[in-house]
Parts: sequence; C-alpha cells; structure tokens
Amino acid sequence: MVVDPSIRTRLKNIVGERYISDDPVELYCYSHDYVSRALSWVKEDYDIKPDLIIKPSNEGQINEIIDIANNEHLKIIPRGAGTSFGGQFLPIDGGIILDLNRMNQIIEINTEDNFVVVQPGVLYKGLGRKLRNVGNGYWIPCNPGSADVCTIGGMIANDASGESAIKYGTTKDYVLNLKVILGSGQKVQFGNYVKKTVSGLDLLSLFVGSEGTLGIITEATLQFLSLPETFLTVIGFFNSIDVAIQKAKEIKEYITPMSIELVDKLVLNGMNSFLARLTPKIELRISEAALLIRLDGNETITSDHVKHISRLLSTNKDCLDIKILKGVPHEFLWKARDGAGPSLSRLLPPYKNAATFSPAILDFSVPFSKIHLLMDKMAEVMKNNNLTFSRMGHLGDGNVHLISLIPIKSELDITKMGNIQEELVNYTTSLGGSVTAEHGCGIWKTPYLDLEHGKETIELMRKIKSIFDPNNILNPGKMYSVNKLAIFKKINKTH
Amino acid sequence: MSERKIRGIIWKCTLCGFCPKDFECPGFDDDARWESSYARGKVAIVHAMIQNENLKFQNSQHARDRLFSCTGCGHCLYICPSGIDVPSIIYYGRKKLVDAKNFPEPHAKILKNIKHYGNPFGEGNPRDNLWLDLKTNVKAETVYYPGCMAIYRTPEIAINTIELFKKLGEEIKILKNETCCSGILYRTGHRDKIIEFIQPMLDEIHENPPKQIIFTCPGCLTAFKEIYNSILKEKFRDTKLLHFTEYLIERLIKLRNLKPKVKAFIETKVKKPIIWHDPCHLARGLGIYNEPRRILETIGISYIEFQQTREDTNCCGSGSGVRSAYPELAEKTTLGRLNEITKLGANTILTSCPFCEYQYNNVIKKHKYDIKVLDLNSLLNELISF
Repeated sequence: MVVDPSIRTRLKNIVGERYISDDPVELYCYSHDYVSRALSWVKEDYDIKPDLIIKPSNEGQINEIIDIANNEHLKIIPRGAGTSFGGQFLPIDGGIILDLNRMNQIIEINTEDNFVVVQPGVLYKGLGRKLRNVGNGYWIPCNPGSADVCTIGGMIANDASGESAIKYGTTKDYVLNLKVILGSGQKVQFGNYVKKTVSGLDLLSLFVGSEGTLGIITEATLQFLSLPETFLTVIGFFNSIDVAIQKAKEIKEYITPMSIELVDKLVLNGMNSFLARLTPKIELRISEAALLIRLDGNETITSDHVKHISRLLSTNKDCLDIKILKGVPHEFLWKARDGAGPSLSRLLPPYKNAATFSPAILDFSVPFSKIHLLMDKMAEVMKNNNLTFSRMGHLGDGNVHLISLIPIKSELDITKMGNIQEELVNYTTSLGGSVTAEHGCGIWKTPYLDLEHGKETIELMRKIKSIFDPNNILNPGKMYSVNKLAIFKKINKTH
Repeated sequence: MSERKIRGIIWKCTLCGFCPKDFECPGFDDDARWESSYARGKVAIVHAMIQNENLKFQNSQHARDRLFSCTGCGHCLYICPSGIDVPSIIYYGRKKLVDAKNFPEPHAKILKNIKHYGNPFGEGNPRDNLWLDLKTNVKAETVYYPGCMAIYRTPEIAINTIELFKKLGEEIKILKNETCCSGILYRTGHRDKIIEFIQPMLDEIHENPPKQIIFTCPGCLTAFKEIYNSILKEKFRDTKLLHFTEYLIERLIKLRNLKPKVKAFIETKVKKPIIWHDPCHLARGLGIYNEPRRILETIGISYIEFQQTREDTNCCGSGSGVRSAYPELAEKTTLGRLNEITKLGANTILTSCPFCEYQYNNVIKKHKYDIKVLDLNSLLNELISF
C-alpha cells in the first residue's frame, strides 16, 4: 500500500522532509532483520516492506502522527535500533515505521534518588558510559546481548535481558515511570518515582514488554545502581553439558553470581575466532561445554567466591580446566559471549551460497531442574534432522538457546526450521516452560502463545490491546496474531 | 573480489545490527540516523543490487550517496561478531554503481587525473624529476614508495623519510615507473582500470625484485599487500612490503642514543601533551599499532592515548574518496576527533599516515584549533638533527 500523497504531505509537515522517507532504498533497508534474513535473502519476491518511514523528534510530533494514523487507518510500527531477534519491528503487512532514534536525549540524571530520565532513542551503551562517569559510577545491569547497539525504548518494549538476569533481573525491574502515547492517542503516565508501590493495577509492568502493540514510549525513568567495585569471570571447561549443568546447580546453591552462562563446543570455537583478532590474546579451551561464571562486587568477597567456585569445579574429574579472567580480557570474553550467535558465521565456509543460520536463534526457558531434559530433546530433534547445531544459554535462569546451522537453500528449509521450532515449543510448554524467555514474540513466537497461556488468556490480552489501541494501528500482526506461523504463510502463498 | 565471493560474504551476515554507529562509523548519519547510513543498511543495499537488479538500486542517487559515504575505515569489520568484511561489500557495491555510471563527479576527476598525471590530484608530474638521483640508484635493494599524498600534499613526510634512510645508512631508490598505487580506484569502484595504470611499475618490480619496499602511506601499502593480491593475484613473493614503522622496529638500537635529547627537544619544539593517532589502514587494516608505540617508548617520548586505540581506533574522516566527494562528511568526522583531542587536553597529534595528517591539518586550519599535527618520521628526523 502506498501512503496517500496528501497524508504523506501532512506527515512531512510534522517532522520535516529530511525525516520522512519512502525512497525504495531506505524502505528496503527497513525491511530486514535477523529473523527475516533467511527469508528475504532466499525469496526473490520477498514482499515485506514498510510504506513509509518517519522519524519524530518529540512527543508532540508523535501525538500528531498517531492522530493521523487513527483517522486515516494507518498502521504504525514503532522501532528502536532494530536489533530484536523475533521480528518485532518487521512491517509484515506494510505500514509506517515510526523510527524513534532521533529522540535520544538524556533528560536528567538524579544521583540523590538514583534515577535517570531519558527519551526512548537513547542508546543503552551511551547511557552506560555516562552513568559510569557520574560520582563513583552507576549502571543499569539488565544488559541484553545487543547492549552495545540497542535503545532504551527498545529494551523497555521487549523487556530486554541477558546474561545478568539471574542476579539483576530484566529491564522491567529498572523502569520506574513511563510517559506513553497509547494507540488511542491518549497521553498517559505509568508508574512514579519510587521502587515500592502497590497502588492499583500495575499497568507499568503490563506495558513493559508489550512490543509496541499498546503505545509509544516518549519518556522513560529508570532506576540505576552503584557500579560494583570489580568484575571477574571463572570459566570451567567440561567433558559434557550434563556435568556443566550439575556444576551450575552446585554454584547456585552456594551464591547467586551475576551470570552463569553455558556454551558448547561450537560456540567456544566461534568465540575463539572472534577473540583471535583482539589484543591481548585470549584462547578458550575447546571442550564439550563450558560455564562462564561472572562475579561482581567487593574485591575481597569476590576473590573468596572465586576460590570457592574453583574448588567446587575442580572436585570433578570431568572438569578439564579452569580459567580466571579479569580486566580487559574479561571485557573481551563478554563481548565474544554477547556476539556468540552471530560469531558462528565465522566458522562457515565463506563462498557457499547455501550455508547460513536458522532464521532465528531459538529461545526458551524452563525450570532449572528441567534444563537437561530440554537440552537432550534439542539434540534429539536436531540429530533426527541431520543438522549441525549448538546449544547455549543463560543457564542461571533456565533460559536456553538452540542455534541451527541449517543450510537454507530454499523456502522449504525455512518451513523445516519452523517445524523444528514447533516440536520444541510443544516440548518446552509440556515442561512448564516459556516459548520465549527474552527474544520476544514478534512474528516468530506469536503463533505459539496460546500453547503457553491458553486461548482464553490470549483472548484477554487481545481485549486489553483493544482498550489501549482500539483501531489496532500499533504493530499489527505481532503478539496478538492468531495466524499460524504468519511469516511462513507468506511463503506458502507461492507454493 | 568476485561477485560470487561477495555474495558469500553477504550470506554470512546475520543482519544482527551490531555494527557501529555514531562516531565509530564516519558514514553514519548521526542526525537523522537512517538505517541505510550504517553498515547493516549498506550491506542490504549491495545485497539488493546483486540479488535483484529489477529494483534498479544501481541507478539510485540515494544508494550512490550511501555507498560512497564510507571512508573504508573498517571499524564495522572489527566490531562485527560475524567478521563480515563490510568494506569489501561496499567497494563491490561501488563497482556496480560505477558500471551503471552512477558515481560522484569528483571520482571521475580522480580517475582522469591518475590516467593523465599518475596522481589523483592532477598535479604536473614531478615524479620525473623529484629525487632524480634516487631514481637512478640502481644498486639499492631497498625501494622507498612515498605515494601521491606525500609527494604532492605532505612533502615533508617524503623528504624527512629520505633523510632518515640516509641517517640510518640505508641505501634506497625510487622506482623509475613509480606511479599512483591506485588504491583509491579500487575503493571508489573503478577497480577495472587499475592494471592499466600500474602495469609498468609492476613490470619494473618483477624485472629486478628489490629486497624490500618501504611505505610511509598505509593506504599504498594496503594496495600493494591486499588490493593487488585481491584483483591481480599479485603477491610479491620475492620482495618484503613494509611500513616504515615496521622497518624501523628492527633498527631500534640505532634510536636509543636519541633518548637524552628528547626532553630538551620536546620542551622546545613540540607542544605537549602529544596524542598518538592510530591510522585506520595501519592499525586496523594492517595490524601495525605496537610498532609506533615501541619506537616512541624506545626514544622516551611520552604521549597520551585516545579512548579507543589500536584496532579499535576511530577514523580521521579522510579515505576511500569521501574527502573529495563528501567533504562535509569528512570534516564532521575530523571535528569529532579534534573535539575528543581537545577534551583529552592534547596539543599535538602524532601519527604515521599522510592522509590523516593532511585531513587533520586542513580542518584544524579551517576551524582555527590550537593543535599541531606531526608525522612520526618528521619528528624522528628532526630529533636526530637536534
């Protein structure tokens, strides 16, 4: 659908010519992400693209845009840095991308009450740099893997989290207050400036993680914490994933570290190839599994924990090696871990047109006691399909990922990937787990929500959505969609 | 690189969006922040040009402006978790645009100038009479390759380097058929023309291979080491290709006696503090960043560092045809560096790349910064004579 020229002119008058585009090149650039990649790279008639991109710089402009969208029945897809892993911002049925990157001002840093007020387009990394240099240093520790590039608005919309969730929780644990324009056009504020409140229904928590389906964040207040004195990581290398899981359990019984990450042999290879070009050189021992146990806090206490954890790991003959990293090597290690999924690309032969990743890293969470079952099931399914795969995850909080190096030669391979996902989704929910722990619903997990929550609950969610966004203008086809594999339906049209 | 290879690299890109933005990517539009202005968008544009010619991106002015506004600094390649060689993808996209005759006018002028004058600036040809004695020094086994920038725009680098060679007792010669390395043509999409211009120079090298060729320009060294290999399979098996700092590292012992002079020299001749700028092609491209530091440490010159250094260095703004086609973008990038330098309190930029020196000096002059730029070789030569 092409936006009517008179509507385009009205939108242009709001933001200015420089901040609106329907240039085919720009539309193409906004049509792709991590999830769509396999699809768009394979399909010559790939037809997911926005009709227009618009970049507001303030709340007033967003208000006007939402009013026009309601009156003219336009779809609005809010977008931050575009680094989500579930296709959250893909304009599957066209529409206008509302790119919030220009709203990137840090409005206030309040060290007395430990909060920061920001616009949604502020980068987490930039804010982190700023906070580190205030007083003795502060931080917001719910860092996702995309911490270097994601926006605060995107983090809130997806309730982003990552390696430190076991100790520090997810983004919602740091959001105190949001100024929002709902899909209805109504301006509201959720939350206040205190951590502790039980007054009324918690609409703030409802909004965090709603993937741009309820409203547009125009301002966010987040709590920050004092920066720990020191960070270091103990790495244990093991003969098997099962031993690593057992050791993670024992560590959890002793302390709650900042992170307990599991990586397998393939990921260790990927991380090594990422680390190889950095100075100082770090090389991780290649083993069946490794645990990265990150500790933070007071220097003396952390050192004691390191000794205890090292002893605990070394009591097992299947623990092949222990490595302790701090300082720059420690930072490099976690950079490699953040980019571990994409770093597997380094291991692929460069010139094969067919070799690529799965369209998405699969993301599940199960109770800790069930992790080994899910791991076994993943291996079984992938072996049955003769696929090279890798298992990794934020073991501390039961969040595991499966990465498949599925050769995508045609659209049928993408459907195959969808079938694998479906099998694993069914198994995960039977274990009492979640179909997505952190990557979000987007278009990739949306079809499975009713398996986890039940049809009645999904219906309730959709009713809530209709209160906030009565004309369904915001990010349609995501989260509340009842389409079975919406993204694959588009493929099936061609078969 | 062939289209097949480029396609293979693009296929490895996961579109995760971890590519650098803001000051870490000179081409990034930090005001409007369009997706097409940073690495992921540029990869998508080239993908479209290769995969679907019906989209006609090769004729698009927007695609042209995006792909040509990249300095080739390689920061995206360094940061990319998947190790995607984005600069090569962009250079290939530029080739497709050039094939469609859709490229910036200043680049046509560069091509014409190299063809007629052997340099991108269109200067008369002093290569024929400059350092005539060096051109006829057939005995020397070491070749010095000054490059166009040092000959025509920053001659003190070439002159001081030649004097340094003399003081180090190294007999050198300049190639008789020395001409523009044509790296700029590769980087601006005119790769098909390169062989035509450099063939006589390559023939001379092959006819009587020198023991080593020493470069002061990291861009020229990259052309000899990587670009000629990439497009001509030229590996110079009998000749070592070295940057001057690599050459000097083996002669550090000769610099040790400079240490006592340094303090007085720095006090009278250089505005402190000094900051070391790692040129992108040198540090990130060729991995040469320890050598200059070891040289400075050996002679006892103290300096401060940028926040991001070595392979993580940020670009000066000049490179890959951006300075000629999009001067305002180059200038914006340089101003970012100069503002960082001012914040860090440095007064002298020390570096080892004629492009960086020239770009810094131009912007410093235009915006009246109280900052000096010094080339490492010029500093060393002056120090020896002090």
